[in-house]
This record gives sequence, structure tokens and C-alpha cells, in this order.
Amino acid sequence: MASAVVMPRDVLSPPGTNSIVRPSDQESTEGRVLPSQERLEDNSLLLAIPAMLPAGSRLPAVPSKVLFGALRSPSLQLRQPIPLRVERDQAGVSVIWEGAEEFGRGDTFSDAIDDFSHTIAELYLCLSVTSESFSGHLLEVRERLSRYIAKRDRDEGS
Amino acid sequence: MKVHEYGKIENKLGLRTRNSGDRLSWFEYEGKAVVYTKRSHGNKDLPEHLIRQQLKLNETQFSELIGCTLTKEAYVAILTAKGLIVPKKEEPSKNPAAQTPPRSKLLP
Repeated sequence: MASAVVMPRDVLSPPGTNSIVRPSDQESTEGRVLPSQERLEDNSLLLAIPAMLPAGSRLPAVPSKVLFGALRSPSLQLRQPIPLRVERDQAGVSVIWEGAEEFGRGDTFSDAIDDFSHTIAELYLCLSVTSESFSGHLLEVRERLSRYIAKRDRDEGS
Repeated sequence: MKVHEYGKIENKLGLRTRNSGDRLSWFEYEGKAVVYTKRSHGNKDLPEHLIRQQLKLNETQFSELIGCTLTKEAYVAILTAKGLIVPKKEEPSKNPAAQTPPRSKLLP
């Protein structure tokens, strides 16, 4: 039966020959090659990593202000980005254009932006109907919208 | 603001929607669109303060509008006082100066 000699881990042999002290037969050789290890509980390493979140940053991914530039209407184009303020409450997210008192609403930030895009396009197109009669207030809104939105030239794409 | 509260306002003021899928409702007076507001899309609640701003009402007036004490006539009076509705009798003059009250008569 073959047997192997186990080298004590804390002994460095000098160059040349040396005699190896064989452990006694009674002594167990287990644990002499590597230090004994303790078994860790599940996820104990993960719990040991500290994670710090600043107070009040429950939803850091939603910005407080954003420049809107994604008007999804084939007949309209943006002249310049529209500054929006973002509000969040328990029911959802609102993006608000203070200048025109218009807003978009949705469960998520993306939904609110999408809703705003549709709403602002509808508002511009409705106010552009020449056959309709509008109050002075709505004419002011139309003028304000015209600084940001314009009808797309049909020949532009060709 | 709950959806049924918005529905109450829509019915009381007779807000007009051009197409069923539209996101905006319009308040019209004597054939002229005066103000607009955003409709409730689906069953989602709307932010009350933003709807109130679009309808040009303060908090008390808006509460009364939802609570049925503010009538459509009273709403027209509010918009008229704010200059958003110009009384029809002044329209034929076509003169913007004529739309403002003659201040000289108020002075002694």
C-alpha cells in the first residue's frame, strides 16, 4: 500500500538534503496542508458588503428636469427641445411643460413622456385648424407652441 | 383626482372632445373654444392641480366645481372676470381697446 509524506506547511527546508520528520502514526495529518476553514453560511459574504443609499433617493432613475425632443408625429417636427419638469406621486409620473400648462401622465416616466408627445401634437394640430374659433388665451398658447413645433414639409423627406 | 370626478366636471361644463381617442377636452362658449384640459386616459387618476390650472380655477373654485356648488354659469362668470371670455356684445366693434372697460367713466 502506497503512502505519501506530508510536509508541514510552516517548515522551510534549507538547500541540500534533510530528513523529514514523519508524524507519529497517532497524529492525524488532516489539516496540515492548508489551514482549517470554517464553513460560511449562505449569503454571508453578500451580507458582509456594505451598501449605502442616500436618504430620499428612492427613485434616483427619474430626473427632476428633462429636455423633451421625441415628438412622435409624422406631420410635425420640433424646432427646439421643450423643457419639462418631472413630478412623481403615488399614482404615477407627470411631466409638465410650465410654459404651456401642458403635461403628460403615466405609470412610468416613459409612459408620461409618450403621453406628453401625443398630447402636445394633438394640441398643436387642433389649434392649427383655421376653421375653428379660439379665445385669445388659446391663440397665445398656439403662438407659444409655434416656437417649439412646426409642421413638417412633405417634400423634406424626399 | 379620480376618474369619476373628472367625468362630473366634463358633464357639468359640457367639455367637448373632437374624437374618442383624443387626449384633450375643450370648453367652448358661444362657439369659441376658450380653454382646454387633459382627459383621463383609461382609468388613470389625473393630477388635480394640473387640471385646475388648465381650467383656470383656484383651489376653492375647483373644489366647488367637483362638489357641484359651482355651476357652468358661475364658471363662465369666472372666465369672463379673468378676461378669457369676452362678452359677445363687445365683439362687433372689433376694436381691442373697446373690450376693456372705460376707465375714464369710473374716475370722478
